[in-house]
Amino acid sequence: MPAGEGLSQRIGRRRPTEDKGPRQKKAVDCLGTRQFPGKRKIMALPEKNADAIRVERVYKRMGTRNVLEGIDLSFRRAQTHVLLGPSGCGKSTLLRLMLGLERADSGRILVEDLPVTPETQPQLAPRMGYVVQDGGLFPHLSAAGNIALPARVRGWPKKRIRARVSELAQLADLDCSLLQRYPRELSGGQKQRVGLLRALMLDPAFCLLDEPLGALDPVARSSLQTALKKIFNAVKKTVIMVTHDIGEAAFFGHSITLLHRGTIAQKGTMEDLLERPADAYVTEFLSSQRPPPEAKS
Amino acid sequence: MIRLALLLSASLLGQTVLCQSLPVIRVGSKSFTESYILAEIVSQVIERTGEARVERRFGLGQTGIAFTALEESKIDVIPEYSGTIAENLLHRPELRDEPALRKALEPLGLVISGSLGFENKYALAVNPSRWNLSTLTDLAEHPELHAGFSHEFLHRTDGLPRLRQVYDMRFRDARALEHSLAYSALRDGVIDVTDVYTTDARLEADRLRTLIDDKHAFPPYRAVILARASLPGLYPRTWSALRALEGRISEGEMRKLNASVELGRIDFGAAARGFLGDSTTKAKRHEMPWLAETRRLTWQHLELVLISLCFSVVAGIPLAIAASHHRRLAHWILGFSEVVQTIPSLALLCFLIPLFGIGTRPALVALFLYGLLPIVRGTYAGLLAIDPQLREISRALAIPPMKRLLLVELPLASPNIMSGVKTSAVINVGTATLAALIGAGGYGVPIVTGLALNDNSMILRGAIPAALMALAAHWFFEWLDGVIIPKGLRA
Repeated sequence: MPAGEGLSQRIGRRRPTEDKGPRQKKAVDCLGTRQFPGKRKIMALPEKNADAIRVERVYKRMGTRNVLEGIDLSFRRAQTHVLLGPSGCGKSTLLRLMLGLERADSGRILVEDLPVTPETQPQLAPRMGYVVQDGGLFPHLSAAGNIALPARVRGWPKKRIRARVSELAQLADLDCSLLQRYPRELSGGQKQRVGLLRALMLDPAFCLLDEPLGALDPVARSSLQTALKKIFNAVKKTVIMVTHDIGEAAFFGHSITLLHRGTIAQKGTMEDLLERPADAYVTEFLSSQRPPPEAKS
Repeated sequence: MIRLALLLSASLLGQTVLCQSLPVIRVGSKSFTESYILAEIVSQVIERTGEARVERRFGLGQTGIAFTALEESKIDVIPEYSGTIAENLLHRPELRDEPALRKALEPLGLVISGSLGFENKYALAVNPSRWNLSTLTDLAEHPELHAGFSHEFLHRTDGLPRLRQVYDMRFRDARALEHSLAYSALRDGVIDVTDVYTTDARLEADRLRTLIDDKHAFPPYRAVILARASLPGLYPRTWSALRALEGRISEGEMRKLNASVELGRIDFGAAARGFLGDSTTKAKRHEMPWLAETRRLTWQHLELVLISLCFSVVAGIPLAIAASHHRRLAHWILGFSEVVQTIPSLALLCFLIPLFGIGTRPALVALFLYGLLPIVRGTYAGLLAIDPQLREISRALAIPPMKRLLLVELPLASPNIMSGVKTSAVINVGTATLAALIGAGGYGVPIVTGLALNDNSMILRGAIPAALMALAAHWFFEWLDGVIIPKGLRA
């Protein structure tokens, strides 16, 4: 535990002093382009390795329970980050804090140097695609209606919406006939793809996924994992994915953060976690979940 | 829907604004045969005098409604009884003669004529073949009898309470019964004794015996004409023509008139003409062709239900939306609409007369209020039932509040909203029949008149179309569900 904390603190402290000047300017530029989200194909990267989201000393209490106890984290642009941990470790709450769906008791979260607050949330929301466990689709809208909704409420012209939806459907190998179906007529995997496409509709810079594959059977899960990775590679988003599945974390994550009871147990690559565990808990968590060797081949 | 409502209310306004040159005297009646006939006689006398034309506001539900209408000058003149005026309007039972009553009425801005010549007292009637009794003192010795009394009689101080006081009267049970139904109940032996009026036509026809009030418990009920005090000054010739009726109607005459309408099936107008010595008498009860009459009543009924429903929807849905956003407000809004629902319809109509007069307007307001609860509750429940995850996703998508409401929340709640609207419509089709009691027309008219005349076929002429309209409303809204509820939410 102390080693893990040290690591995160180091990461958390190093960034601000180093990059403040130039990146702040970039962030303003990004904001400017944000007002025309559809015209922007892929966000211009100001610096190869700049941090896109920073979490600074965040505490969160829910009822009598301390869900997050002083989290410091940063997420690099255009990489896939995994928040890993058992249920109740605070990983979903952390994600929801980044989205502005909850407020931190203390500390702050910066997205492109803009603090996440109730005031900035509506402004940040179009840049943060959010995907939840079973898709979170609106049952009264067709698949296409769900995907188009974020653009529709922002008054995009119909033609542009249609073009964008079919572009996205192609990206996710979603058959056009499925688009007219309602959520209750879709399989779990299909729902999840629709949910993902809805999150990508406005071409956000970030994609935040909360256990996106948790409700799927193994076959659907594995095929969707492949599809997701392909999509992430194609769109070059900053992806933050919450999961409790170590295999999934290894499959997706450029960087993995293992959370334990509201604190960071360790952050690093999967290799780091496996070979240089920060403490006994890391080893315990990884070994408890490591799939049998036969399954790996 | 809204446009239709506007159109209908505009046409309604047009009707009321359209006036003829002569001033109007509004004649009221209560909803029993004798009151209809006397009011018709009064109306025809006014029309013959030619100082004013008459607007007939007949069939006002009960004494309370009639008095309120008079006090609020929604009607100008109504046939009444001295005892009723003393007991129910003045609450001074000791006043027994006309001069004393006239004096007491002065501060209320009302005036009465002298007695028209007959008394219509309360009396208790029994079937002499079952119970050979002759006085109320005899009756007091038989506490094993089943009684069925009109609501009014049960509660008027000069009704059952007075009997209990004077005769120490007891019954095995005393049930509340609509007066005109009491006769058939008495004939069939369902009840043994009921309250009657001494001029009731059916007393003779059904061979019933009225018991002698040997201790004079019931005050005298001499028929008089009760009018607003301004009437004699405004229409002196009319008033003297009305006063010329004093002493002209004997008890036998009145009973004959009642019988000619109830048993001889002559209409009120013809009976009155007959009394006033018109040659075109003994015509059969004038009846509009059935189809035309039903069509007219259907329009009136539809107008009542549709307009009130539109307002309930327009007010109810926003109220429920407001309630779903503020817990405390929800408390008040739901509480209010629930309290309204518990007010008996007739009482609500009565409360609304001082504010909205009689006729269509108070009926619309009452129906609007009754229609609120199902819609408010349905919408509120529908909004609360929205999956919190979906709410959160609409926040994560930063959908602006108005669009969130229109594109997400209301569509998701639409099945509940629609079922609330449907319930409200079906209930209002039924409730609207009561609107006839305050002169708003609709299917209630044949029901109320049929009850007064104890004419089942006439009652059915209102009841069956009302039931069919309720069914039609149900089917219409089932169909509308398919149009309004998004396909993804339908089973």
